[in-house]
Amino acid sequence: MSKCILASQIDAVVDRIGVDLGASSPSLANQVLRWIRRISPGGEPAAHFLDVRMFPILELPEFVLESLSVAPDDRFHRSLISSTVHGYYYIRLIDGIVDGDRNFDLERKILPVAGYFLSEFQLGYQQHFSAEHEFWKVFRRLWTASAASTAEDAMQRAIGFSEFERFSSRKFSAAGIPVAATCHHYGRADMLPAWIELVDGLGRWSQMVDDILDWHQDKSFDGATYFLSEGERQRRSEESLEEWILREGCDWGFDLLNEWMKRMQESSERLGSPGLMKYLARRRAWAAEQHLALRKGLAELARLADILGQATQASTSLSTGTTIT
Amino acid sequence: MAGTPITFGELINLCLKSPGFFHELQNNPAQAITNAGYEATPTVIAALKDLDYDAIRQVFRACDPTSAPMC
Repeated sequence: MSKCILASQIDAVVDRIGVDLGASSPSLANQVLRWIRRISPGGEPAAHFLDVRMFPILELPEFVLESLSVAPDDRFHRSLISSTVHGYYYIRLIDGIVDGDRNFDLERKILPVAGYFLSEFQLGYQQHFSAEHEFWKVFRRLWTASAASTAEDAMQRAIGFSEFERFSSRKFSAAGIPVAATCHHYGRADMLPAWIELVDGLGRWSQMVDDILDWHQDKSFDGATYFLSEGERQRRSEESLEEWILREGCDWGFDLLNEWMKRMQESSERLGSPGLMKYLARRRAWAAEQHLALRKGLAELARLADILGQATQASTSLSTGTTIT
Repeated sequence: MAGTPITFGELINLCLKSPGFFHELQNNPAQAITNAGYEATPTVIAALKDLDYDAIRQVFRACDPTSAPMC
């Protein structure tokens, strides 16, 4: 499916959210749509889902479909997109409240809408799988793992690699649900373990990207992440966290990301999806660009700190009558 | 502000939380650091003008949670 078609389907889902909620309460619908625009970079919901930093929750079923070489069932894929968009907003709304993010007041007001998002997420699958279908066992396992990991992660005060593996990176488990649905819908449940392994790998990688790039925000909210916890462990006694990031933390984090991505690329060959391989290569190149940009920018900020240090000395010398030569 | 040297962490906080200071530093370095209580010596001004502000801006862009979706 082209990005353009996917974008128009996402827009249609968001429009329907407005219509569904508007039928009961136009003012609530307006608030929810306002929230959706506020959490979307640039205010565009479709661009949000297709952003390079977004977990590929809508693309993953497309990659599975590509690997199966079967004729697509368009109605099924439209249901998946609708379900996944609602499921994402459900998780995002809960996350916003748990994290106390900048949209907290609005999120608290619209919280009851979480029930609507959840039912639409699940209804998307009920149209295609009977209550006895094997798919629901996977659904329950992944959905529970995702909820439990998110709650556990929020309760941690320090996160080592073990906690990162068990909780932080498992927050993405729910992204395996549309993947599982696709495997089951086309009668290829045998493919599921390999695809779930990929989802777990992508979850680990994506969480680490967030940990690295959002370190400043996480630190200011007193949040615990693997990156921050590792910084506390690795920094020298006389060194601040920021100095550790400049000296080696940035390289440490991105080297880890690169290693994980390399392994993911190697193990994904067997899945037989050129779209997935292209996606992974794009993410690897993007991470390399971010690494370079951060390293260069942080070095310039360190120069700025030195210059301001000189300016401090000059000010002190002037006030004490000393001359700097 | 100019009594003790600013630390690297404080500088990152300052630039991320007060982008006005950073913009002023780039556009009018003498004024910016005088306002901040520093002595605007020619050496300091020359060094400020030599900074790669685009590179610094990239850090803010990459680390700005409002410009990227939460996964």
